[in-house]
Amino acid sequence: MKPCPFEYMRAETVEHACALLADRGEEARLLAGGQSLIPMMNLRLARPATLIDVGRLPLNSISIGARSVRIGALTRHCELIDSPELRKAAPIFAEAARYIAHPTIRRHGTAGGSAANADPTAEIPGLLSLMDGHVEATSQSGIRPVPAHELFRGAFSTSLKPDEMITALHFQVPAGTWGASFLELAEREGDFAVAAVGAIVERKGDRVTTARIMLLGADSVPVRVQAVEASLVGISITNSVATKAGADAAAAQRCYSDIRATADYRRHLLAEFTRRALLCAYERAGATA
Amino acid sequence: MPSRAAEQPRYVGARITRLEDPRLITGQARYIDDLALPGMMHVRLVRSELAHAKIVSVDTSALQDVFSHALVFTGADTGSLGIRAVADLPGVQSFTQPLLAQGRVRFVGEAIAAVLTDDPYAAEDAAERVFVDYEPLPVLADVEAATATDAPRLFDAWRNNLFVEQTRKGGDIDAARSQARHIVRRTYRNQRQAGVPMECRGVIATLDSTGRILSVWSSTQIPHLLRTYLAEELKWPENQVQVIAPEVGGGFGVKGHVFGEEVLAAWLAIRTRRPVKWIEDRREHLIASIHAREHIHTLEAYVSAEGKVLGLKADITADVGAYSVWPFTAGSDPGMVAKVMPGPYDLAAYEATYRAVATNKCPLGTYRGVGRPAAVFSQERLMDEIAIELDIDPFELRERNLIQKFPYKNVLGYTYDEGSYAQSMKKVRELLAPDIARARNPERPEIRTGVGIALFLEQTAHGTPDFIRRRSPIETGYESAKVEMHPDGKVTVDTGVQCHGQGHETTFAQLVADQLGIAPQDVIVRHGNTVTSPYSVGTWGSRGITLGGGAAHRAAGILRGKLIAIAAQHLQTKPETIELADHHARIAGDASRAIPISSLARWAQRNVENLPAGMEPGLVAISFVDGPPDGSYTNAVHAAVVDIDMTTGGIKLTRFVVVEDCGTIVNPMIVDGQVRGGVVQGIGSALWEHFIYDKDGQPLTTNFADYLMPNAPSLPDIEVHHIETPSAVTPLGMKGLGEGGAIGPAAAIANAISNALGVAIQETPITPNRVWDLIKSKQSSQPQAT
Amino acid sequence: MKAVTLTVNGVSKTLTVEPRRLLADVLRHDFGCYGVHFGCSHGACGCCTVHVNGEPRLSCLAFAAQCDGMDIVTIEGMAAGDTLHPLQQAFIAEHGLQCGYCTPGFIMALAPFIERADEPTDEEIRQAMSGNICRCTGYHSIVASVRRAIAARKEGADA
Repeated sequence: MKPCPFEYMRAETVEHACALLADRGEEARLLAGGQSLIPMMNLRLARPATLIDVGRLPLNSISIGARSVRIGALTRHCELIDSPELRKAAPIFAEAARYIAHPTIRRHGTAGGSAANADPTAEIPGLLSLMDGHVEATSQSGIRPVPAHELFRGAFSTSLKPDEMITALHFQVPAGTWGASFLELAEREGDFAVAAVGAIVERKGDRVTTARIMLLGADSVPVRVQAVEASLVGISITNSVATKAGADAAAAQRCYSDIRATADYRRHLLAEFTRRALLCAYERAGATA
Repeated sequence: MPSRAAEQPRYVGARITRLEDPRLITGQARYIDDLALPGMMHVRLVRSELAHAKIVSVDTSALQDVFSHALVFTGADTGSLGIRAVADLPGVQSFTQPLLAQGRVRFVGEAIAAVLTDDPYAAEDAAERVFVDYEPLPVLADVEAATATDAPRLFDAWRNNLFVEQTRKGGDIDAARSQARHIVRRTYRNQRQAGVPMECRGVIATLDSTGRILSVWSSTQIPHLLRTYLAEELKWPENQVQVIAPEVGGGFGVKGHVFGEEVLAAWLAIRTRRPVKWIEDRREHLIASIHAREHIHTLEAYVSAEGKVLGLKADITADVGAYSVWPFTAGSDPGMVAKVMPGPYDLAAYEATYRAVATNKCPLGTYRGVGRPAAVFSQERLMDEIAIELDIDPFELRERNLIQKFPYKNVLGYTYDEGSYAQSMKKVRELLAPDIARARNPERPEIRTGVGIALFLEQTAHGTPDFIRRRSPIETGYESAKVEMHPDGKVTVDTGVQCHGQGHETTFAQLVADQLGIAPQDVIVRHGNTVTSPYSVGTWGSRGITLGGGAAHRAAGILRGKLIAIAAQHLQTKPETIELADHHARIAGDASRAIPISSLARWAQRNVENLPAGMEPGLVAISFVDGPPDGSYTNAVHAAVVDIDMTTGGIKLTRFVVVEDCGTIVNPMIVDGQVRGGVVQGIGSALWEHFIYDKDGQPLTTNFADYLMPNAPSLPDIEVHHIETPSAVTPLGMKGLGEGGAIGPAAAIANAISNALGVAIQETPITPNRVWDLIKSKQSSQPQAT
Repeated sequence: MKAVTLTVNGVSKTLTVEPRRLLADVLRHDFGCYGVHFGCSHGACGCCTVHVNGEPRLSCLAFAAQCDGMDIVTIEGMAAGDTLHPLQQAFIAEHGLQCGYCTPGFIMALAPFIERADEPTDEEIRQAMSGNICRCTGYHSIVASVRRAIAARKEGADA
């Protein structure tokens, strides 16, 4: 379990990184926190000829706007938990990031790295999808915004071009009073999710004005269930409403079976977590009103 | 007359911190991968990618183009050398596991070629340039495939795919069946696991410059057995082989085997005349060291109207993988189940048939508990099922069947020494009272609480007769220690028992210090080294403290006698009046008449003119202690409390309680640590750890993201309570305890979850998915309330 | 090959290393820090945990080349002279180790935790060690060790 040889280059600036990427193209991989890439290299399942180390670029800022949150690509998972501003503005980041592996790994892994890695059960891609997010795909040609639903193509597959790097992630938050919830089941604490659900509910009084539901474990990419989301607008979320929404959200999902769980079980968890997440998000939205 | 035995032990029974800890806690301990020899070559093994295949060719021609200094060896070089592990039982079929494949591979991970370079990174690069051409053969992926009537043979000359099939019985099983009011029949399964010490295996071998002395360092639990095996297999005089186990980072039975890689490293050192080093990586460890468990048991209990189990019939099958392991052999795990299934219950009739089935998987070996976790899972699930079927409280049912009088000769003829079976169950029942009450009156309907118990015995410190009955190459059951007091009164103990976390450097020092009137800090315990230690079969089978410690206690006792004799002459008194304490020999009750032990030690070796007439100089003694013929039986009750999320199947283990009796306790801190560590391994068996192969024999859980080890947040504290019933058949009444912790949890947790759900768990691991499936099947089989 | 300067337990060295050399290997073989252990080489057991610029990181998930100019502390650098780190003392007192192989990783992962946690719950303590696997102890005694080290720190602060 020792990696293959590679050429190591450290990017000093974003422009430098883009120039190196343009020059090396497909044979190069960007190295950020190393959370996923280095294990794959140690197992010799990844064999990049060139590693471009972007780890020291100043891309770890968190900026919070009225309707959006911008997370620098090199923001580490632990920073999503530790940032008091983020915890106040959008506690769902900390709630979801706590499901990511373990404290030491959360000091390695970065938001941009996780988005680019596109693990089908990873929390950061899930949040991007849930929050109608997009990434800044930066290359020598400039910055191209890539929305989540275009970015994730399949398991470990994105629509990023070989010369592009993610420099920031943008997440949209509702304008009004809103609440969110992120629920996940893994076999042990910190494991890859068997299934997870994120929900955001914006409400005015008792009525839902917007709702978003994102499922992990339904497919090889995060899944949004727009029809169910739309069905909640204008009504109050009671247990029976949430139960039906969960059943509807999960029913259409193909899901997959693997060594961790059957498709049937995943579908059941997605329904149940959708129910719980909607109730919780709705209640939290009420509490902030 | 004052008796020497009446002296109170000062250190045995004391909670003293470990003498070995300072080097371990500061990073100064040296494990196998921390050692290096000048000119050392690093070995990388090319391993089979297929579960069953003919090897058409091994092409090494591309290697030297790039790695001009690399060396490569294949099965053509190592020939018939291998691991020969045969039990001398009727009908046993055997096959030698070659060091490097001989034209055929039988599991993913089997070694095919060895590539040597001067650097471990380069060795991996070089090994990728060895190309193996396979011709796939049909895969025997499980017991069903391997025992099908038309199943292809894993070994061409075999009659079928069974390493061994045997029956053990006692009493009149037909009479028991005919007298029974109830017949309760169940089938239970447990999963394949890996043992997973945190340090993987590793070995360094070198031949000295004279070409005579073969030195081998290995991360092993059995240095002497490895020495003997190397001598026999490589035809090297045993007095020219030395084996040293450096610091060993956990073993749990995995490292209690002689492995092909160890023999191969020694052979390579001889062949190349270079020091060679092989360090296993985690993937190799998971696919190609040894696996454990994977049993199917069908039990049939013959029960009276009152709930007395009159007889038990068992059919035991284990999927033991592709080869037999040395020295325990392929039949070890299922054979152990057949032996121990009667457990703590008074059973008049018993019959068990066990078989070891060969499949295209990693060989099955001994892992903490060896067969007993599986046996106890089946036995204790069955006791709960009988209780339900007869509508008797599970404690009460067990009470009616427990052995109450000792010594007890069981249905197979094994004699149990004194234990506290009923007492320990009573204690557990008291401790669990609040949980049982909570389970009956749930606070929230969506969370169900369940309480489960498991009773078991652990046969420990087995003596030679027990191994003779097994007819396996282990052959013997004694342990050894050499105790030497130096002229300054300090002591060295050399023991053949190998320590890989058990704290022997402390507990053996406690035993010896009490004998010699000195402090544990005055005693250095050396182990794991065939150069310094007398012959031994190593550390496994819960025998270290009882037999190895017992040998140290007895050898120190010989020195004690000598010190007292010298002191008695100088104090002009009878030996019976002398006590050794506080670094002095003194007359009991007369503090003014004392001689420092260091003076006696000096006289015995430097000023021998001071010795009594006729006494031999020197202060060194060796003792060999064999175990009692049937071993000594530690007993325990494990209890689990779980909360089940009835909508997701989520399992939360909220409480785990152990009441155990391992006889005389030398160091309670260490006993608690052994118990808790074992329990958590058992919890891993119950809930998470599962080594999975697909239908093609491809392993799917080859790293720690897929093979799920117990981690801290998933676990509760482990409460441990002791009852001390000293054994009458061992030194100081000590019983073994190393494995016990791992034996009970799967049964206790399965019982707890079954009780919570009202559905019988029949298989481990118990995942949320499986729990949800059971909840769903129960709901669909019951009419909905209107 | 790449020139890399590392400061390890206060000693600076400039080495020429292959870029692929894992930090753990360089610490072990070039700095003699054999207390850094490989347990899995894929970031899933914590045995190789060291402090990089003051915070716990996995040295099997970093190349030495990435760490050029950084300050690294390993288990060998935790004691102050003959005085063990409070966590090391607590591990001995509470039997927080058996075979010792995972122990350096636990100490390095938990050292910052005992500095900032005042009255942690059991769950918080267990979360803090969730990336480290111990096969021997069952974690119970490691939880106790953390509690003891925190108590000792607070006692020291009161004195």
